[in-house]
Amino acid sequence: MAKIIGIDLGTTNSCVAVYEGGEPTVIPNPEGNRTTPSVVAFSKTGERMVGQVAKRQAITNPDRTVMSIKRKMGSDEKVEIDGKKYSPQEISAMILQKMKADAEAFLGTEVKQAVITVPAYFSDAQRQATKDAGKIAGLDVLRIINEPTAAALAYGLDKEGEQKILIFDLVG
Amino acid sequence: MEENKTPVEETVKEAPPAETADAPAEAKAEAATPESERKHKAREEKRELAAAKEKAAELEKALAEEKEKYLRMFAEYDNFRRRSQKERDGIYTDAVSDVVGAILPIADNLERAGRYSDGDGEKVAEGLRLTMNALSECLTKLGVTAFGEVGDKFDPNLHNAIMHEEDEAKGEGEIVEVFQPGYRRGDKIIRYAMVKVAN
Repeated sequence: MAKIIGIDLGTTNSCVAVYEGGEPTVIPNPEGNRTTPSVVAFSKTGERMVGQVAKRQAITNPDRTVMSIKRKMGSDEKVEIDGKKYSPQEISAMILQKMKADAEAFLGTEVKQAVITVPAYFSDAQRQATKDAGKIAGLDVLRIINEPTAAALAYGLDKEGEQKILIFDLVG
Repeated sequence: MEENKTPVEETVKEAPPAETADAPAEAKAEAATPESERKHKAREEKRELAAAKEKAAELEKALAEEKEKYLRMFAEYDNFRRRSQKERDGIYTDAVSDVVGAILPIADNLERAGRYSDGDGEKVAEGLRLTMNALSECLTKLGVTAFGEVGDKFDPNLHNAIMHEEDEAKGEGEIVEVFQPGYRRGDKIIRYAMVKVAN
């Protein structure tokens, strides 16, 4: 059965998880960390870097390093690198592609479908942009879920009986 | 709505030829021996019913077996997962014990040095050098090597740039200062070298 991954596409860090034996499991990246910096960079030779490696070189290459692209999602603002313009969707897609590739390496199988979380305050345009980013990354985005909703699901809200749960979204 | 329509249309289309072919034959047979025909039909239906019941029982049994198999498999998987988690935790504890055990003699030396030091600066410095050598040896034994030197070319796969400067006397992406050397064991980077990079 094809696996569906869940991606938390964050402003500073992103995270990918999968259901295994009825429980969500966070997939570590090849460096062994459970979160990956949401940073995209291009070297002077045009090589693309995503995640920790992009973050480590950021200070030496600020003009070709993109951080916190999530803040621009849903806007028409473009990022220009070496004369080439990238939409926020395209940059986000590069992060999603990395998450997808890491998940595929972990699972040992191709991944085509994903659920992506967005802040509860995201507008329709911002949600659509997130969906588009998934599409560019080669993912069929089955659903866009609000981050606090995902937190509630991960807690197990759907399994227990009737209960009241308070969710704090600390952001950042 | 449209999905419902197609099959109806098909039956209507197909029905006429079938009727014209079978209808006269059926009518003849019924007219000839209506009683035996009915009995025959009843027997046929009974047989069909029995066969269907048998088939249902068979399928029910097969389903129950599969269900049982699934439940067993799930329980087995759950056990496997718990066991491998326990094993992983065990491996981690063992690995940490091994490493700490290798470093403890150095801690002993430092502790002794603190106890017996008579305030002679030169002797203390000598002791520190020896201890540092012992530590380097210990790290080498663990397969750990240090890297990151001034003059190396910056590589984000090994180095973490925390400062940057423009200096025409230096090369492109040249490391001009190492704040902390990096450490690696095989392909695994334990710590990225913290560096200042030029240009």
